[in-house]
Amino acid sequence: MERVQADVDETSLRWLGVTRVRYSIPLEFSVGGGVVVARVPASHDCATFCEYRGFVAQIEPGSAGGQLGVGYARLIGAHKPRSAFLNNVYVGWSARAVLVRTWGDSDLDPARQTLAGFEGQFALPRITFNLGVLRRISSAHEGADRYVYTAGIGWGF
Amino acid sequence: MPASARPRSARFAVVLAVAAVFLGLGGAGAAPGLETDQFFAWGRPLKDMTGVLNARVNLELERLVAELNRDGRDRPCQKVRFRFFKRHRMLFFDGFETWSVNSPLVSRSPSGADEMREFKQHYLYGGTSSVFDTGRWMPPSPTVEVNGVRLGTDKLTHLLGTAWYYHRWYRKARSRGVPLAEAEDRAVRRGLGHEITILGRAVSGVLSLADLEANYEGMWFYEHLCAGDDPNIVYDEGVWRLRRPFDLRDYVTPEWDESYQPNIYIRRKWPKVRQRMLRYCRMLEHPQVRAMREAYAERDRVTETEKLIEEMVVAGKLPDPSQFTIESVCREAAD
Repeated sequence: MERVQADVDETSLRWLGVTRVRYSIPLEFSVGGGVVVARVPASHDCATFCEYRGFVAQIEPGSAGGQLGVGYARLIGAHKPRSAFLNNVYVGWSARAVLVRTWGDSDLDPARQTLAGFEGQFALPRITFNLGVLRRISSAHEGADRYVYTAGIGWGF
Repeated sequence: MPASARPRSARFAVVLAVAAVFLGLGGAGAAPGLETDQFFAWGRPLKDMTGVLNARVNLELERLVAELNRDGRDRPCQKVRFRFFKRHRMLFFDGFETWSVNSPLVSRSPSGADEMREFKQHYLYGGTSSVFDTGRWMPPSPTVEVNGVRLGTDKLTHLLGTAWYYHRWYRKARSRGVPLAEAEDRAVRRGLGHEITILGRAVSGVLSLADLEANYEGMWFYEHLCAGDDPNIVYDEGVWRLRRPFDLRDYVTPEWDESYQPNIYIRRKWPKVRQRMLRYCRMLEHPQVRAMREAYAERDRVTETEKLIEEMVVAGKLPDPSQFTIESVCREAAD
């Protein structure tokens, strides 16, 4: 029992890379890269799958804007031996505070603006969804909407 | 935001939300139905993990008891059951299974990079499913040995996770005054319905009778966790205590080994699985496999799940599982 208890309780902090490709409003086509930081039992190699609960941070440039997000993630995933990236997320979710800057041909009015808000993400193997709400924090002309609802679909986490 | 962009955004969000709910439901079903391949473990040495896995479950039971004592009061048994279930449930996976596929204390097959590579080539279900089979997207469960029976680690999820739902259906029927035997029957039939539809056959093309066996035993684990004549946990003189430690030997039977208790396959999948099973015909004479199957035969009994499956077969609702046994496959090939 003591050995089992030690195996469960002795944890180490793991930093694992996460990536995603998605189409979303308002970023349109984007590629994200970030990190999940979580404690897992120190002796577990997580080559089959492990649960990760912890901090997530991600930067995501897209064709119509860029996003910076930080928050909490809970996921079941696996990484290849000696790889620093989660190559498989079987199921997971995250809640993030995000900062978005739009550019180029963005559908928003004005096309270039800065927004801040929240995003919820739900991931299954090979597919990820997100929904959120943003509030404009940059100045705009009178009558411009303050809130934007966001949604996206893609691959990765 | 221009007027044209707003409806587009809203429509996109609605479509996504609906898709997420549907896929989420599909994923929820598929995840506990992780596939396993005991044939791969044939002839490979495995240490008996009864003590280690018992210790893992008992550690969680002791922590549950400590948590209940921190609250410092009596609780209805159903709440205690739910707290135990919640303690190890992780999204759609189960904590005991996640631990057992990772811990260096657990002897399992496949294990290690070389054996994993070999497993990928020989996996019974490799290349047998469509891209849309969500079961294929999930990792296969390795094999462990418990009390002389080889089983997939997914059975821990079935015994201690999926079985929670069986028990809830059972309790619900009992609370409505349904007699014990009928309540049990209703729960098992409903469980079979789930395995045939969202949890198994409809998703992966495989109806695992071994999964059903583990679900059934788990229903009784939850029933006796804190109630009945011989509960695991009791509230006695103002203190919760672990009265009877959990023991997997009370639940595991040879029917949990999917190389012994055949799965039922859909017509489309079976020829591909059969082709892969044929590789193991010569292994039937391997000393470890022979000894194991002889020991299984001695312990074999007619289970409640088998009675129900037999009834469904007679009614023409399920194909006869005996056609999917390794013996049947090898006999046909020899003829």
